[in-house]
Amino acid sequence: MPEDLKHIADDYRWGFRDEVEPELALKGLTPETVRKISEAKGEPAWMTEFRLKALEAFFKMPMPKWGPDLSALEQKLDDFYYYVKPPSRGPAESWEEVPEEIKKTYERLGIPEAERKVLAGVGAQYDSEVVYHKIKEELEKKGVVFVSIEEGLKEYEELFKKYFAKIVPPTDNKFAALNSAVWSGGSFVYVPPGVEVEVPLQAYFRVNTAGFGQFERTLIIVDEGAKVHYIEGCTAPLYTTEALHTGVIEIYVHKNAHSRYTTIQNWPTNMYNLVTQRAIVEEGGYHMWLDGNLGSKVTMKYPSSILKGRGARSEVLSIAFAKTGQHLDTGAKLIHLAEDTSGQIVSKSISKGEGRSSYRGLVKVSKNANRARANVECDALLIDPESKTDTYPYMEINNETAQIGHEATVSRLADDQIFYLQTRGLPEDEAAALIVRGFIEPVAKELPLEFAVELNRLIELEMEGSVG
Amino acid sequence: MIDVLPTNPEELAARLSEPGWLKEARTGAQAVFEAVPWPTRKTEEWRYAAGRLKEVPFELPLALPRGRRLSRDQLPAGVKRRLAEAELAGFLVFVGADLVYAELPEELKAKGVVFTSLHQALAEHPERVEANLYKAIPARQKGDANDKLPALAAALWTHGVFLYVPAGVEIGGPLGVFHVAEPGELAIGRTLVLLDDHAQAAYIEEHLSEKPGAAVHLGMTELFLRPGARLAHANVQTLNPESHRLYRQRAVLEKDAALNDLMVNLGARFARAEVGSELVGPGADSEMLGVYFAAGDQHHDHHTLQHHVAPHAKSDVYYKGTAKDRGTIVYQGLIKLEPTAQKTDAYQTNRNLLLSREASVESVPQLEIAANDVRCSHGSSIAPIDEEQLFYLATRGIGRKGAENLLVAAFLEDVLGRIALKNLAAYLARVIEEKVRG
Repeated sequence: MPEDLKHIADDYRWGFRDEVEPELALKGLTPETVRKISEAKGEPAWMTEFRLKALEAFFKMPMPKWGPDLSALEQKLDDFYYYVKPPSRGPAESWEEVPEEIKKTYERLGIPEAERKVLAGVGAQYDSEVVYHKIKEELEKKGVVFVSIEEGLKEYEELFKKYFAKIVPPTDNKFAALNSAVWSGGSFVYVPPGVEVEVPLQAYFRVNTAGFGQFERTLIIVDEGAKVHYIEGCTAPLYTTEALHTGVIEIYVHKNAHSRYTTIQNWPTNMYNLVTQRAIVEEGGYHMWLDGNLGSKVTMKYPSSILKGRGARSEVLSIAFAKTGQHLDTGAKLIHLAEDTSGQIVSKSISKGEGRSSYRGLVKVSKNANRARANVECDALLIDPESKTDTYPYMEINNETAQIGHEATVSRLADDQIFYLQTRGLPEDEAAALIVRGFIEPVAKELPLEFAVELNRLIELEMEGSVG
Repeated sequence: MIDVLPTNPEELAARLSEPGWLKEARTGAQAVFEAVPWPTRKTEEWRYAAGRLKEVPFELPLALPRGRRLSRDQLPAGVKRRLAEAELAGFLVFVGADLVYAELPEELKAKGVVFTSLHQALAEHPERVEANLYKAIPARQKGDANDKLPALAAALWTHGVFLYVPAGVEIGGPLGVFHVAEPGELAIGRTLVLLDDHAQAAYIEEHLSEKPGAAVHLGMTELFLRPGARLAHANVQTLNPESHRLYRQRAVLEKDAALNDLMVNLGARFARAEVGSELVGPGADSEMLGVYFAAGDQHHDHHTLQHHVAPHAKSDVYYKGTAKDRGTIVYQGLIKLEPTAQKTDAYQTNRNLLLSREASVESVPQLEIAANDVRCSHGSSIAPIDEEQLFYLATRGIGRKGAENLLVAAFLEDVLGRIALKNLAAYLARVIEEKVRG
């Protein structure tokens, strides 16, 4: 349904473009580009070296042969901008210091409003540099670090170096290597032992230059017994050039710590979104990945939790909504390395028009992980006859005491349910939207309020005229 | 692993007095074999079995027909034991590549049933063989490493089974085929089963060893079920623990055809079974059952495919397995629904039980769904023996070891309750219980 595509393009809410001239823009993928990025950021020599080695690894590794078709992306890797520095001088301390153009963008994104409500700090990323950043004073007093990744490297080099690329090494996969070579922007979070961050830390990302690939890098360290919830939302204006986003998110959850990472991506439908997200969870620790994938042309993202310490737990909850022209290949991985570790994966996907959503996951139990337990539940909802869904769950079990289960169902938007709701006075569109909302409810109920509201609006918009 | 065919397929065709089309098919398959690589760990379908494939001694001499015939009394002891209890309507016995004995009641022959070696069928029913052979399992399908073994088999098969059941004919008891492996040989066989409209049959193929020593068996089975045909099919492998077995099966189900299939892997050092059904006619129904039990250093590897092309068809996979000692078991399965397959019912269940620290299991149940008005689900589980059940049995005076054996046997035999061949089920239950006690 080509009209469907057009409809999405016309309605794309964040599809406005600000006239902000970048200070420095580096196109093409060469060691020269990598050196210039490192130089522009004033990085220590070890980081420059790290980036160059990662670039070498990137060139050596083949494109993934499985999953979505990346051939069109491969053709144009040299056409992307690998670094764009906006004309702003470092992080702004207060809202007043943020440039007017950028402010306007944020206003349209609803950030200041959100901040006034509950936000502890806003680390909003405008292209590659964090231009606006604020942390509530009490957090600073508690010793919580919430800064841009660049600032993290500058101000907390030792801590940074101890964890950086230790969870996701550059050789992990081709796009982790690419990110490691050209990373720019993202957050650095450190929560000291025993500190509970009551309100979620939020960072908004925007990609603003045509053909610009964003290489966000986030490192979160939750020390012993600490607690944090980090939220990231992604949105970008719509351009004709196909754009690229390859992020690397590393989270270290120490003993008895509790962390949650929430992200909703709503990239435009010409974006390749190839992200590596991984957490290591120590003894008694807990980590939740809450993952929403709505936008992008192609997404490949499989949030992983390595349950390293005894009794470590993890949950991965995800929602994907694939429309015509989109292939969302998402999933989760649980690696059980220790005794009494447990995990749960709940994946809800919706495919509409010719959209294709795939679940690809792994549950691995090592020889020593006695009494490991994991449960995987994947449900797919297909709206139209042309819609597609796939499920590829891998279970690799090397311990005889493990209890592992996987269940998946595929169903369609049922006529009888719509009919029933119509008899109760609901118009057809609203009935369909209600059913879809009910379908994703087990995951959506865990979303922060702003996201939940946004998601509901999006579903209503998408379900207009979709039945009949 | 071999890079060139150990035997020239043209010479083989001449030696076996085959028609020109078959010689050409063999040389065509040779070209495919030489063009595609061997599967490696990076070949998705072989990720858990590529290591074992490397150990398979393909360099063993190819088993060739040597014209051996045996009387019923001379049949291998293992076959005779099975015959005594199997209550078969007819049977064939192969030793290596020789069909050494065949029995089929005149009454069935009179109805037009053909149950013989493939080469005899080539002589007597050439058009039926030519129209169907290689049609479900061609030498070249994907053009990648997955074609390596089918190409090898297409180029060099030396013996096989042909079963034809005419339209409307129903065969009362099951037909049996026994393949006795000869140590030190690479045996390559094919089976071609054709059930015409509304025909009904039961077919059991058993692979066994009489002697110790490594043998390799590469087998391809093609099953064609015309509209309304019904087939109960079983493939049972109890080879000695030095042997290697590589097997692919494809069934093509037309309108309202029904298949009840059972794959059993109990023997061999390395056994791989790829069992697939193509549902090309509406109303087709494919029930695919599997039982496997790896002990010692055994590796049992299973792949199922439920390929729905037609609307209103149904398929159901139920595979259960156990591993003890250093045994490793693998289940990979795919339900694939084409956009034309609306109103499909497709299910897939895999259950596994690990009995020792060194045993391992890999389970990968997959779905690829391109139609929306369908009912489709799958489930997989890996769980230890239920402590509560052990406790219950203990209260009834059954010791832990005995209770465990009982529960493992019950776990596996659960599948047997769904096969259409009751006599075979009783035999398999006995073999499983022996192995559990092992």
